[in-house]
Amino acid sequence: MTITPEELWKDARRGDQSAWQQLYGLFGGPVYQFFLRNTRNVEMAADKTQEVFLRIFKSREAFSGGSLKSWIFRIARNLLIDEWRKSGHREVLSENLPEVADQSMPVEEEVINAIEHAQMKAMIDECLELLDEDSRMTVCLVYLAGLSIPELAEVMEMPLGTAKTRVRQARLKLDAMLCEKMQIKRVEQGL
Amino acid sequence: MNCNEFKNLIGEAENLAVFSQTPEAAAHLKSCSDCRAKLAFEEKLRQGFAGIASEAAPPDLAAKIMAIQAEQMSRTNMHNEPSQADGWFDRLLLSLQGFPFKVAFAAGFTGFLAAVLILRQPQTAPVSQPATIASGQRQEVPAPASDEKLLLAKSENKSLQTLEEESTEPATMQMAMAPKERRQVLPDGLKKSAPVLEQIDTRAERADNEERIPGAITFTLDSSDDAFMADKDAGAATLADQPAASEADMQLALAPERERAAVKAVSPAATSRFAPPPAATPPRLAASKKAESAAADPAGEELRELLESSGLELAEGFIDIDDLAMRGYLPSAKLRRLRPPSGSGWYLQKTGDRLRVFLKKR
Repeated sequence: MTITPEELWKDARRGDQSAWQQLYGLFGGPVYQFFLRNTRNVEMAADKTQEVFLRIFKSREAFSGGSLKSWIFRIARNLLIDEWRKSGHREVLSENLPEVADQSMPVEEEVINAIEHAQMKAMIDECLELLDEDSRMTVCLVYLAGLSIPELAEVMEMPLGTAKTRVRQARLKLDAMLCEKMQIKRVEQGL
Repeated sequence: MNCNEFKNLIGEAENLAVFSQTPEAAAHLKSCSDCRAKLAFEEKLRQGFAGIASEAAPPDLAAKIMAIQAEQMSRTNMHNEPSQADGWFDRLLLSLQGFPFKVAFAAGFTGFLAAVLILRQPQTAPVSQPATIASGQRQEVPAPASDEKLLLAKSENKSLQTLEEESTEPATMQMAMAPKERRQVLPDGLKKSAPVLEQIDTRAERADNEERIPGAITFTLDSSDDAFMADKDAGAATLADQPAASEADMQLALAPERERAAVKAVSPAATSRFAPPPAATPPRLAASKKAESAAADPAGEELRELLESSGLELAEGFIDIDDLAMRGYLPSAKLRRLRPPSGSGWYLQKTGDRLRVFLKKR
């Protein structure tokens, strides 16, 4: 029988160290990678990850139910936006995003299958760095953190349709970058 | 399902394996190589993100985050425990958990224990020898044996002096209370008690030295006159303390020296505790007998003769000698001589034809 994160949280907030450790095992890595991919700063990513867990335990009475994952990544997202604002970042997450055209080049199935897992991770990492902050954060929340579209809408405090649009636009940008890289890789490897 | 619908659905699908096995998706995938490539790309992308997400965080981060829970729980307990404490004593103990409070509490408790231990020490001063510390005047507590002897003498109708003659100890005690100047010449019967008197002096001086409070003003009565006056007061107090003391005894003890000398002529034993006692009559009993036998009083006898010679008929009771003097029965010279001490008066008692005049307290 699988224990849900919410059940682990009930035990952890009462002082169960084992439950707290399992929660860190579930969300510690994704939260850290979320900050690391969005800030490109290892120390800051660690500090922000620690702060997320500190905040969730301090405000443990505030969690009244719902998805624990959404609650944790909402805190992480708010911390990231605060950090962006402190560093003079441009205004993020504007409501009216420009329409994004599908510019991805078609990639053959055998080319995709030939790409190794490590190569794929490296290409994703490179493409994420090239993405704009809004798209990168959205992609990270969905594909790194594993949030569903409804959970993303909850975390980003926006309607479900808007969340779908954001994910789709972010994926078009990312896919275009990845396909471009794959084509380059195909040429390099002579496939 | 066309390619656009497939692309939109595959991007929103949470589980690609489940999505690809749906009938519409499976039918489209069989006939569309681009969508198969798209599915393969999506699987590679998600595997890549999953690989990134599973990358380990720094090792020290895990320790820091694990410590968050313990630290927050301890802080929460410290904040919540006082409100959860049932009684005031629990809250007091919780408030004393801080280090300075612990030190203060330990110091106070140690002081309390020390005070209790000091107060529980036995008193070094002898209880059986009380003394007037401020004046340095010795006050000997009568030995219980003497009280027993007094009671025994009363019950057996035997004088205390007789008992004192049987044992020289009370006489020795009396001499010990007398001034040293008077003790220079001891009676023959008490010479054998000289070492005892010296021991009593030594103990009394030691007790004086022990019982004097450092810095307190003390008075030592060395002159024989002062000692006598103090002794006279002490004698009156001693009589007053005795329930069997008669009014005549009290009157005699408080009387001036001249009157006491006059009474001494009648009954020398009644004047002072230090006067040589008569052979068989104790002082207090002698004073009572003197008051009751007016025939032994020359002043009373003179007054009786004066009344009988004048033929004056007086009623039984107190005699107002001032009234007699105003009426010419009593010359002024005799009035001064026959005036009774204050508080007392001459009392006339008639037994048949015989008159009896004696002093009686009003």
